[in-house]
Amino acid sequence: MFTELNIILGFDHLKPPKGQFVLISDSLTDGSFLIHHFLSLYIKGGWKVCLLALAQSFGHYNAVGQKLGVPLTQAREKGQLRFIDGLKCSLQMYTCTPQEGQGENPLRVLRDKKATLRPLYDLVKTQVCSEEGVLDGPTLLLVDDLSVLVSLGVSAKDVSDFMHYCRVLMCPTQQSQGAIVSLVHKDADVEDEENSTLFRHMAYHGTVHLAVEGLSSGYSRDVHGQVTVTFRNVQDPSQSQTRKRRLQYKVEERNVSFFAPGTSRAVL
Amino acid sequence: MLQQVLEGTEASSLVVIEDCVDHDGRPVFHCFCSQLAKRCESVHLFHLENPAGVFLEGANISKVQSHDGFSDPLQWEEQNRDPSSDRIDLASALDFLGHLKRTPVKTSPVAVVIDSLTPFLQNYPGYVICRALQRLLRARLESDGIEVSQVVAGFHGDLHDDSTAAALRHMATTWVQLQEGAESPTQGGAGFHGNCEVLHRRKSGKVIRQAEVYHISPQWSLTSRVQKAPVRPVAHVEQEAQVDPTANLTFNLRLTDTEKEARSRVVLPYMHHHRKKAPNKPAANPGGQIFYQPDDVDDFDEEDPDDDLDF
Repeated sequence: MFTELNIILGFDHLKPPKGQFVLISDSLTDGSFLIHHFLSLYIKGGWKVCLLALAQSFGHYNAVGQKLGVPLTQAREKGQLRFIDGLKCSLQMYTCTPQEGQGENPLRVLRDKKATLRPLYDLVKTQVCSEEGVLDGPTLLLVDDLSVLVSLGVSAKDVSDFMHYCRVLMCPTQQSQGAIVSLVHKDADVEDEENSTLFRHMAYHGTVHLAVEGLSSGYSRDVHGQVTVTFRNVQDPSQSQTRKRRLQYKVEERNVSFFAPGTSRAVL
Repeated sequence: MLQQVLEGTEASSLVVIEDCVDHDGRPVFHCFCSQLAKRCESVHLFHLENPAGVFLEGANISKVQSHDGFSDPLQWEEQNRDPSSDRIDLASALDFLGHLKRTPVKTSPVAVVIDSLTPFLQNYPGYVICRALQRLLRARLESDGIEVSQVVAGFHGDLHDDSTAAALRHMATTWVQLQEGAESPTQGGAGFHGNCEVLHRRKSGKVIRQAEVYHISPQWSLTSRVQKAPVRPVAHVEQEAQVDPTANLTFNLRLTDTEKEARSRVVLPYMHHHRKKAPNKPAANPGGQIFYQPDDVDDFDEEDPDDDLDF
């Protein structure tokens, strides 16, 4: 599954991405299938995953995971998958009264303007690191998604600081054990300054950028959209500086097939 | 110009490298770090967006003093503080010179490399950054105990507004704006390359603005040259020898003189000639006759319309 994309990215479940900051952006379409892909890639490989879910509940990921053949409930019980229910935390922040339990909520920045996302970072750190405070083995931090935080009123600076600290924790160098995959919405028809600023900040952190968008010619039954993969390499002058690859994709029941532009089965 | 500023042949106290998401400035930064480590006695690297190792590969690290703003800029990590390395705290007052003074520096002048100004600009107003940079540039050996020969700072053009960029551009003696990469001059050659626009102000007051092409070798050395304006192909106005189209044919296309005269006298069927009216001539077309009366604007002339064809 997703084998073509894995070949292009150079990852698979036996060789997970290490030291990579993968930024997924989608415009006028839904790029969350890539989140499910990375989630199942790591679970299948037996590596550790911390999923910071701000957009969907655990049931949703579990349902999709079952279709992809990856049992998330079992992984969660085993401790391989650490799930941070950001959706519930954000709802609690809005529904609880100031007297009760606001102090422990990691998303207290939503009500308290002077707070930052530091409590959320501390929570992620406890989930991801061992007792010594370091990563043991390849670990993935999946953030789905960052635009939700901006929509809820967190400033782009706070989100960018949080992601900076996550990057320092997981993948400061290309030899680190950890990796980060995060999703940012970048809808072309919406003029959202905060969101665009956040996207640009994340683009500077990222080592791989997967831009998911619909076809410019409009809706098609056989080709659902295209993914542009951009590698930002500044470490090794013997390789090319930025490489871009474009793929088209079609979302099916249990898989997403990727193919070079113009080679869809409907066309050939 | 970029190469001269890098090598020190052109003096420049504040060099700002403006990049954007599509055109990364880190390779150019790396070259500056390596070159400054070679020609200056001491280099202070303020790294906030990348670990120090990104810029120090291939450089003489004994001369480089790094100030860490990457690991913990906001003091969120209480433990694991390494007291030996100098850390930048974005919550306290900004003072580049203070950081320099804190680390024991035996040699002077020093060079300062800042990667990049963006985290500072996110936490402090623009004028605070400008003031701190001015203090750095004006440091004198007698009063501050240290002198700064060159400051190289990175600036992300697409993350900040125009007024901040304008203020920094006013301060900078060299402003390098990275642009779309050109085709590699040596096909398949290794290294990074790209275009840039360099705005350089000399102490004499002369301002030089040039579009340049730079190339970075795998050993992190940068060469640049002025980009030549694309040469437009000059329209060739050559008088080619008139080729006779009727020559070298298997059939005859030429006309004798009598034939030419006869052709000119041919009456065209739709022309109503007053001179040669034949009243008894049966109507050529029983259904109707076409009478053509040329207007004043019609130019009808006797010339052969094929005469002006130019092969």
